[in-house]
Amino acid sequence: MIVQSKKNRPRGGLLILIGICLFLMLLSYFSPSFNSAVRNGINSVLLPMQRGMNKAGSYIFNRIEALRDLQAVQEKNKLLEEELAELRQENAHLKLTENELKELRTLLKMKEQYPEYETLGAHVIGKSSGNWFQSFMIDKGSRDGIQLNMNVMAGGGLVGLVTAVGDGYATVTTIINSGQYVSAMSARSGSNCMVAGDLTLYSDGLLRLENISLSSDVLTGDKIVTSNISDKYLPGLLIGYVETLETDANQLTQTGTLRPAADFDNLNTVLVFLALKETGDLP
Amino acid sequence: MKRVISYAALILVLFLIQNNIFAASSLISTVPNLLLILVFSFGFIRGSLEGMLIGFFCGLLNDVFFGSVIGLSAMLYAVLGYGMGLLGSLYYTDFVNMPLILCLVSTLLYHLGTYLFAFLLAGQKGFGAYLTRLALPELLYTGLMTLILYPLLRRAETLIEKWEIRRPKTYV
Repeated sequence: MIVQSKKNRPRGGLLILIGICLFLMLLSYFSPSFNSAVRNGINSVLLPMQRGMNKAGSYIFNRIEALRDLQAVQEKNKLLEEELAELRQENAHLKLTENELKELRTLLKMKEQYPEYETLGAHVIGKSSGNWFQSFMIDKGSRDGIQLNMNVMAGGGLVGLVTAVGDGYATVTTIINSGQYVSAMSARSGSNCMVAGDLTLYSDGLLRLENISLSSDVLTGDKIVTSNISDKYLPGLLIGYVETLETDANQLTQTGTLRPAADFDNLNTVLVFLALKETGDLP
Repeated sequence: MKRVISYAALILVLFLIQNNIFAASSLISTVPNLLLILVFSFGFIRGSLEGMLIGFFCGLLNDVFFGSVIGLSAMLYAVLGYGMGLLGSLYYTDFVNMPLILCLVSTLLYHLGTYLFAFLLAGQKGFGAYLTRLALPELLYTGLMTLILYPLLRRAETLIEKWEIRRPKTYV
């Protein structure tokens, strides 16, 4: 607390000041020249300082406004990032579609290879577990004209056989399944053989080739296709290429391995042949 | 003498901040009246004489740059400074809300005075609009600035006092 004395209340001083003020007011009101003279005088002293301060003020507030702009930019950035995420997702989707397109184009090529058969493309929608598919489900069924025992191909090679048909789906059992036999022949010589699924070869991505008579003309690298005498498979469908050959202990037949043309690891789209093998059996 | 120099420096700095830094902003449409804070603070702390003189010079500066006539604000500020000095001699100065009350009273009185004289001199009307558009926003901003500035001014006052005492026998 500050103690103030009586001396600190200069009533007379105040009156003098008010007098000066009133005088100044009247003078500046009635005499513009006095007004401008006083203003100019004080202005000339203070103007440089004011300019400096004004610059400083502008600088500070420009910075503040810049900060405010930054906020707006950040908000916009957020929006753009969201958009980017959306676009990325769309892009990924398009990439997938592109891959699919490629696969479908291969299928189309295949279709041109087998022009005599009517075919139908289908997507794989379900797979049995395991690295290689033993059986899988496709998104076409009896509604689309699929029937039991129709042949399925993918990537240029035979994949399997339709073993169950629903309204809107079908199950395909692949030829790599152990116990599946395909009657086949060498495309070069026409010599018959059997292609069988084999559990031990399966992990190497190979199929077993058996029942090749010692006298028949099958060589390593031969193109193996489905044979004319098969009861379920249409003739002439590519299965794969002979990898190895060896003579059996009985000295009558040869056994070998076959590398399938279809890529069983990545089955996404397949081609179903809508024709059934004519067996001569009565329906 | 040191006190006079200090006051002159304070007045100048606050004037420049008020009218050049704040006024340079397009964000703040209403500029807080820092000079008014200076006048009522020092009038209240130091008494009528100093309040009156600081008020006079602050007002004069204001008039020269922005007033329609020279001397109007000077007179109002001087009277305010004097009045605050009287108030300071009557009340305890460390009351927490005192600066805000001083700010309220000063701003309202200042605007009332300005309005009365502007009315007398130029025949201005519309007191309601004047109050709501000019006086109240300014009151708000000045009040906010008072909270920041009043403690600083009190500290400045003690610093000036110390500076002055180092070489005694020099009074204003």
